Amino acid sequence: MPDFPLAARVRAEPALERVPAAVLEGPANAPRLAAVTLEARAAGLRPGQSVPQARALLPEALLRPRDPLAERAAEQALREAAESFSPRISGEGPGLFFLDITGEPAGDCSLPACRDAIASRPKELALAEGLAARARAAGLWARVGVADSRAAARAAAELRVGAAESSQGAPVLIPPGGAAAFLAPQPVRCLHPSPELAARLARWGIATAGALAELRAGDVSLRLGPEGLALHRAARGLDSREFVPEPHPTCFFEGKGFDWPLCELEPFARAAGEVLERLAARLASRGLACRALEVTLALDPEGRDTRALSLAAPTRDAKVWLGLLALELRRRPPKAPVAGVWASATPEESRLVQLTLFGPPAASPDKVSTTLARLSSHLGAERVGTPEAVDSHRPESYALGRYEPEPPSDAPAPLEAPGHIALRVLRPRVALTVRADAQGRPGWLAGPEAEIRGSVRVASGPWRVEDGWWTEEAVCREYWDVELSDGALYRIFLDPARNAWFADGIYD
Amino acid sequence: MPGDKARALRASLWGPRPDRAIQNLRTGAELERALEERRRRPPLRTGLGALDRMSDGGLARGALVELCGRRSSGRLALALAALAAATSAGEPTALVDPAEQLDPESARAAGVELKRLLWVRPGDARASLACCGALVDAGFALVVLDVSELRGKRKRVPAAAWLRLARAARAQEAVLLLVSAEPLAGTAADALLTAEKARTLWDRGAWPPLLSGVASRLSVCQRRRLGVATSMDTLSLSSK
Repeated sequence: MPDFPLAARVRAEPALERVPAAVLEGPANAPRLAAVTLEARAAGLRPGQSVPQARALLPEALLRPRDPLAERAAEQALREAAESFSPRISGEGPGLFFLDITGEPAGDCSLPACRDAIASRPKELALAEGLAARARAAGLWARVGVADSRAAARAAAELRVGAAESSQGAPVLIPPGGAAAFLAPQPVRCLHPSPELAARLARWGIATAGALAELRAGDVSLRLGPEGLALHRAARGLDSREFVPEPHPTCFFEGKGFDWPLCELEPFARAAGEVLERLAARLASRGLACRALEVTLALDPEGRDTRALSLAAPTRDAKVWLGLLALELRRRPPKAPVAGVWASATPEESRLVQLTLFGPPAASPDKVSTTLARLSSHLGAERVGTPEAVDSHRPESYALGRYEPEPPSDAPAPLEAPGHIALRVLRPRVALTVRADAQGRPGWLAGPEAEIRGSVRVASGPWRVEDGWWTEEAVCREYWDVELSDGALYRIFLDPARNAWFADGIYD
Repeated sequence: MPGDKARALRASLWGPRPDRAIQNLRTGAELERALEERRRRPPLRTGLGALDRMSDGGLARGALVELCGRRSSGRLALALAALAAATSAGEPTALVDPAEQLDPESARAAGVELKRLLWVRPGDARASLACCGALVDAGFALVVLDVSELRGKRKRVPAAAWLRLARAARAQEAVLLLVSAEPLAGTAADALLTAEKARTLWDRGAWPPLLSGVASRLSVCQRRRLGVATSMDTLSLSSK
C-alpha cells in the first residue's frame, strides 16, 4: 500500500481523502512531510518538505501527525483483507503483505503482454481484483501485484500512477517464470536496496535490475556481501529466503488518536463510534461477532485507562458497544483528558443455527444476540440470562447462565400438562412479626406492609434446613408453609440463631 | 332457491331499514378478516385443558393477554404452564420479571425448559415495557411480563404504552402475557383471564398437613370484533 501512514490517516479520517493534506513525521520541533495526497502533490507539496515550506506553497493544506493507533488498525485491516484470499500471509513492512498463491506456466512477459496474460488467466485476475476490492471495502486503497517472486510482485504493485502500463488500483499480473524479464528494465530502486548499496550500484553505473542480474553471483557476494547477493537474486526473479507465513492474530484491533485531548463525552463518543463501526465492519466481513471488548483510552499527557466490556451475547452491533462504553464512562469517568482510543475485540463465531422447515419459526439468532446485548448494556449483564437451578439447600439460590437455546426440534410438544402450583421467591426476604404458640407454631403474622398480615389458618411444618455449616455464612432455618385468613399462601422460616421470622416465598 | 335469495337481498338492501343493510355489509368485511386470521398460525397451547378449552385452543398469537388475580390464585402457575408449553414446543420465550421473583426449581417442576427461557429483570414497569417491546421485535413467540408484585411508583405506566405493546405483538404475531394483580392494559388487551382461588388443597392424612395445591376458578373474557365472549371453569394446580 503506497504512502501507508497517509492511507491509515485517511482511513481514520475520510474527510482528508479529497483535500490537500499531508502526514508529518520526524522530531516534534521540526517535522517534515512524510506523505501527501494527490491534491497536495498537484499544488507542489512533496515528501521531505518542512512545515514552513508546505505552508508557503499551500497555506490551507491540512497537516496531520502520524497516528500509530490508526496505522496499527489499518495494518490489521489490510491483513484481514488478504487473509480472506489466502491463509499464508507474511508481513514485510508497514502496509506490505505477501500472499502465497499458485500460478500457471509462463508466457510472454513484457509488460503490455501482461494484460493478455491477465485475460488468459481470469483466476489470478479475479483474485487480485477481489483483494483490491476487499481492501477498498476496509477503507484502504491497495495495489496488487501477482508474480512468482516477492521482489517482482512488489515491483509490479508499485508501478507508478500515470504510467502507461498500469493505473492505481488495477492489478498487474506477471506470468510464472517471467519475473526476471519483467524486472530487467526496471530501475534498481524497485528492489529497495539500502541507501549505501544503492549509492554503490549507482557509482558502478548499474541502473537497472537487469544490469544487476547480469553480474556473476560470486562477484556480487564478494563485493557487496549478503545484502548484495540477496538483491542479485531478487533481480533474477528469485527469492533469497523461504516464504514463512505468519500465524493468525487472535484479536481484532482498531484505534484512533485525537488531534487534541477530549474532555467531554459527546465528542469522544462520536470519535469512538467511528472506531467501533470499523471494528464491527471487519468482524462482519469474516462472519464473526464479539462478546468481550477491551477499550483502552490514551490519557493526556500520559497514562492509559483500560475498560473491559462484557456482553451477554456476541454481537457486531457497534451501537450496542458504544452504549455500553458510554454507560461505563459515565459511571467511572477517566481521570484525565483522552488523547486517543483503541478497541480490541476477541472474536467469536456467530452462532449458526439451522432453522427447521416444519417446526415452529425461531427468532433470528443475530437479532436475538443484538437484542440481548442491548438489554444487558442498559440493565447490566447480571440481569439478563437463563435461570439455572443450583444444587443447594438454600431454597432461594439460583444462578444465571448464558441464553443459548438449542434450535427447535420437530418433536411434537406434550398435549396435556399437569398444573403445578408455583412459588414466587421474595428477593429480598421480608421480615415478619410472628406470634407463635408454645410449640412454636405460628398463629399470627404481619409484615412491614399490610399485604402480609393475618391469622394463620393452616400451618405446615417445621422443616429444618441447614447449609454451609463449615463456612462463615452458615444457614439454619425452620421452614413453614402457612395459609393466612385472607387465603394467601406463604413460605416462611424462623432463624433460630437470631430468633427472627422471615417470609421468602408466596405460593401462586 | 336463487329467487328467494335474490328477494331477500333486495329486501335487505332496499327494504324499510337500509341502515341495517349497510351495517350487515360492514360485518361481512369483518368476517373476511376473521377468516384470514384463522388461516394464520394456530394459538399457543398452554397444556392446561380447561384454559385451552376456554380460549379457543390456547393463547391467540398476535395478542396481548392479561392474567389477573390476587396472591395465591394460581396466576404464576398459569404463566409457567404457558412458558412450559412454549419452551417444549421449541419456541423462543422470555420472562420479564421486574420483581425478580422467579424460582428456577418451580419453573423446572412446571415443565419449563430453562435453557430456552430468557429471564430479564428490569427495575420497574417502564423499563419492563421497553424490554417487552424489544423482545417482541426480536422475534420471541411468547413474552410473559409479571408485574403482579410491583408496588407504588415502580408500577406506573402510561396507558398508551400498553397500546403500543399490543400493536407490536400483533405485528410480530407474538403472544404477550401480562400477569398482574388487577387489570392494567384496559382496551389494549385482547383477552382478560381472571384467576381466583377457590380453595387450598391440604393433605390432612399426614401430620403436619402437607400443601397439595390449590383449586382455582378461571374466567376468560375475550374481546372479539363481533362482541365479547366470557367463559368460566375451575382447574386444579397441584404441588407435585
